[in-house]
Parts: sequence; structure tokens; C-alpha cells
Amino acid sequence: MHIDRFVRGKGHFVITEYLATDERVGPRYPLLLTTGRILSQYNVGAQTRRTDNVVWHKEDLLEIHPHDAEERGIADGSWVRLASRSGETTLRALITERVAPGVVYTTFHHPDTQANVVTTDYSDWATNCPEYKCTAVQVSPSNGRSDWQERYSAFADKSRRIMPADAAE
Amino acid sequence: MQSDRLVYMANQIGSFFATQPGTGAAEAIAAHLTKFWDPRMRKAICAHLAAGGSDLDPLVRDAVALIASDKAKAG
Repeated sequence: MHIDRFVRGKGHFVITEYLATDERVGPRYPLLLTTGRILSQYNVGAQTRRTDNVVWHKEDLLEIHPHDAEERGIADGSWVRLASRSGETTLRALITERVAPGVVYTTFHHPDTQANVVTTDYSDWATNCPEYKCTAVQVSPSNGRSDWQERYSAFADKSRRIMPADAAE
Repeated sequence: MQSDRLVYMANQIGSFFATQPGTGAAEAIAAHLTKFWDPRMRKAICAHLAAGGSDLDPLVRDAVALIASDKAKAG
């Protein structure tokens, strides 16, 4: 196909301008949330949560720096409410110095948390890829899961029951 | 799709092409919208311009006008 020359011509390289996101931290949402993945779960976990991988990662945790946690009265392993301008969810906190002060991190592998309830509609100009690495949030202590999480969890458990099948022969 | 969202996206695209050297930013924005937007989105942004085009940046305004005139020519 490309013998002697490239069919569509040579590549066109340009210097691209950096266009920052319009998401902003402020007094009500002073922390930055980034979401990401860990090795033992794949995407939303539809496949890997059915396996023993849950031993390594049985729920999404909110990683928060000790300074930020202390300021908010958050203990390791306690429930926290994670709220942005878009929405809110609750999950357990993991106090760690892996994240910088001012930054919190969580994964999106578990439907009980639904991290994208919190992320915003901002996207990049070229591909419209959603901005999942930069959401202004506030974190506060919580008594446990919010109402929609309780309702969704019951529904999710019910819809994922597996009937034992009889062998074909 | 709501027109304020379309205007936001079009202006975001415009702010990139405004930084590119050379002339023809409006043409480049029009080409981007033609290549990557759904026809319904282009129709909606053209309708927004026809209705006054509030909040559209000047370059994006020119680009949408180009798309609208191309469409008029094509019938």
C-alpha cells in the first residue's frame, strides 16, 4: 500500500496550543479529583469483579492525603461523601501519601460507587473526550452509602444472580 | 443537543484554531465541524446563527456562516 510513497501524502505536524479545562477549584470545592484504574480490575469490572480479583480490590476507595483527611476529621477506612458541582457519591477513605495534598484519587471499577456521577461534562476540544482527571470536589465525613447507592446495589445484586445450569448431556 | 452546549463546543474548537499560524482559521473550524460533527449538530448550530448566534465567538460565527452558505449551495 505504501510502496514508494504514502498514499495520503506525508504527515502534517503542527505545534498545538494547550487549552486548559474550564473546571475550577474554589471555596466550596477546594480539592481536585482524578479518577483512574488499577491493575487487578478491568474498566467497570463487569468481567473482573466476577473473579477472585475482588480479593485485591473489592471496592473503590478514595485516596486522600493525611493533611486533607485530618482537616476534615476523616479516619482511615471511614465513609466519606465525595461531592462536585455535578453530583455526589459515598465511598470509604484510604489515607495515603501516594496522593499530593489537595488531590484525591479513586477508581471507577465498581457500580456501587459510580465515580462518573461526580465527574463533569467538560471535554477536550478535538475529540470530545470527557475530562476524568480533573474535577473540583469537596470531601466530608458520611454515615454510609447514599440512598441511590442502596437502591442501585439491591438492583445490581439481583440482576447479576447466576442460575446453575444443567449439563447438556 | 442544547444549543448552549453546541456553542460551548464550537467556541472551544475555535479557540484552538485561532492559535494556529497563517490565515484561514474560520475555514479550518468549518472543516473540523464538517468532518467531525453529526449533521444534526451542524444543522442546529446553523439555526442558532440564523437566530442571531448569541455567544458565538467572531471566528466561529464566520465558520458557521461558511457551513450555512455551503449547505445553501448544495441545496
